[in-house]
Amino acid sequence: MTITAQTIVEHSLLYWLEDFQQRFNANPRAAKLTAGWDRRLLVDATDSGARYVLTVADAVLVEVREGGVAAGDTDGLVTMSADETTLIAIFSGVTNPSTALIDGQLEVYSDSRDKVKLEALALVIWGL
Amino acid sequence: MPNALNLDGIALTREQGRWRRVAEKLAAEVLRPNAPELDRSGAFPEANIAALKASGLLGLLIPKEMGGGGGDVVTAMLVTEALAKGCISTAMIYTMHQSTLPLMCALATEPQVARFLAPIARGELFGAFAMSEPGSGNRIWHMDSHAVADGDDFVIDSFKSFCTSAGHADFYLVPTRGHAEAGAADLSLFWIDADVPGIEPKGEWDGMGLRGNGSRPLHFNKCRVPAGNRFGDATAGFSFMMAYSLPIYLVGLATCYLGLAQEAFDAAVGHVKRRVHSDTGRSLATVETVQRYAAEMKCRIDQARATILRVAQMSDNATVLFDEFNRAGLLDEIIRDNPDDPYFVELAELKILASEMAVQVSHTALQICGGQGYKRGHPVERCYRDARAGSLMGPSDDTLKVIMGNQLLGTPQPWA
Repeated sequence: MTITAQTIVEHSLLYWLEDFQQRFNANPRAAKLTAGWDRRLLVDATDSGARYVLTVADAVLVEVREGGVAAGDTDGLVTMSADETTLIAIFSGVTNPSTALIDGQLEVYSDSRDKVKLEALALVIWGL
Repeated sequence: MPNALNLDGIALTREQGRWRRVAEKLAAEVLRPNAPELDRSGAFPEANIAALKASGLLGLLIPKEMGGGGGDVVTAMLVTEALAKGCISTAMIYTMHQSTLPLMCALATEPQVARFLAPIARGELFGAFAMSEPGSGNRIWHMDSHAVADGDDFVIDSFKSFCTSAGHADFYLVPTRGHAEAGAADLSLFWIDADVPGIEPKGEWDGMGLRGNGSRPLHFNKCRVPAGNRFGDATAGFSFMMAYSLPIYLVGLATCYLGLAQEAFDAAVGHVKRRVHSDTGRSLATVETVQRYAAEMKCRIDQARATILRVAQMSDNATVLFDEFNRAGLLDEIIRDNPDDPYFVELAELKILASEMAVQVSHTALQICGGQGYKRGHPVERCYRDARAGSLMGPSDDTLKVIMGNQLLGTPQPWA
């Protein structure tokens, strides 16, 4: 399937998050980049209210689960907030997360190193 | 006129402001007074280099944890412009020195930090980047020479066609092919101390402009260096040069020409305000043509400064990303996979824009100053000659335009 801005919306955000999980885990560069970077990524769709947590442990994206995190449970947490269409565009590789950040489409709550890590992952997974 | 609204410039950090003031003081007290004699004699600016060493500016780009100033590309731009207003030859020497630092910092092992970078940070050493070779000229991604492993040492036999500070630097950073079978862009990077036997500067520098920068051919004639003098592995040098040297090098060159243009502008404005015609009793500043010239110069300078600042900020952002790939051991393959990333094209564009701007501005400044500006020794006359070097220095503007054209039109880059 050719991924375009038109075709991505034919699938749900969860579909693209799971697609991202497969791409991530099949990519040796992603593994090198995330060595020692154990994080939970909270994907928060601001318009639909959908929330998913992606867990990276030992350089593997081990889980994509529906739901949020408990209040105050922020240890190792990176939060990405945007409308669902933007999140789909990011996790399908159509939009670079740093471009979305600069354009004001995406908010990321984490330390600056985590933001760089996301940009680097986008480059090695999608060549963005 | 005074800037009543105080809207000028960008908000600097305290560190950036401090470094710029250090450079401005150095330019005013040392570089500018020395500039006319350096231009006349073509001598290397030893006194200026001594003052740079004492100022702490040589270690500006070395991280604080390595003992340096912890500056970024934007800070380097601020400093370089200030230096270039005083003496562009010295600013060029400084830019070449600076270009060696980020990639050494990215690659240095702990012993290399102590042996090489700490003395630079202490102001004890200044360096030169010996890149271009006669075979490939300003196409600096291609080296013909190669290193030969010999026991625990490497033997470097490499002829460099132009090297700023040749015969005057305390060390040279020398890219060559990693070994005899390595490709033209599979480069090793060697630190060669100035006192290593076999370093042979050729001739004397006697250029039309930039007369103090000591740029001449340099033969590393079978120089023997310990294996510990190689930064990084045998073939990743080109990628690290692209990621860590090219930005500071091209931003630095562009900023040298920005400083030169500002100097030419200031000299021309000073001239027209002082020059009063006896028949009208009015200064040249009241002549409409001169007013238009002044406006055109300022437009070009400000346009270049804004672009340099934007690309310098972009370079600082890119460095953070490159550091991430470097830590993961991925930098070489990422750079090789993305030979014409638009970022590199922005850098190429910057140098073209600034060098063309400097020629235009110094041309207009000379037109304004007339016969006075044409006299040998006038600052505008010097700027006019110095500016012409910009488009020729490697990579030349013509080469950079080809690189830009390849990226814009989707054709392969010559090193890919």
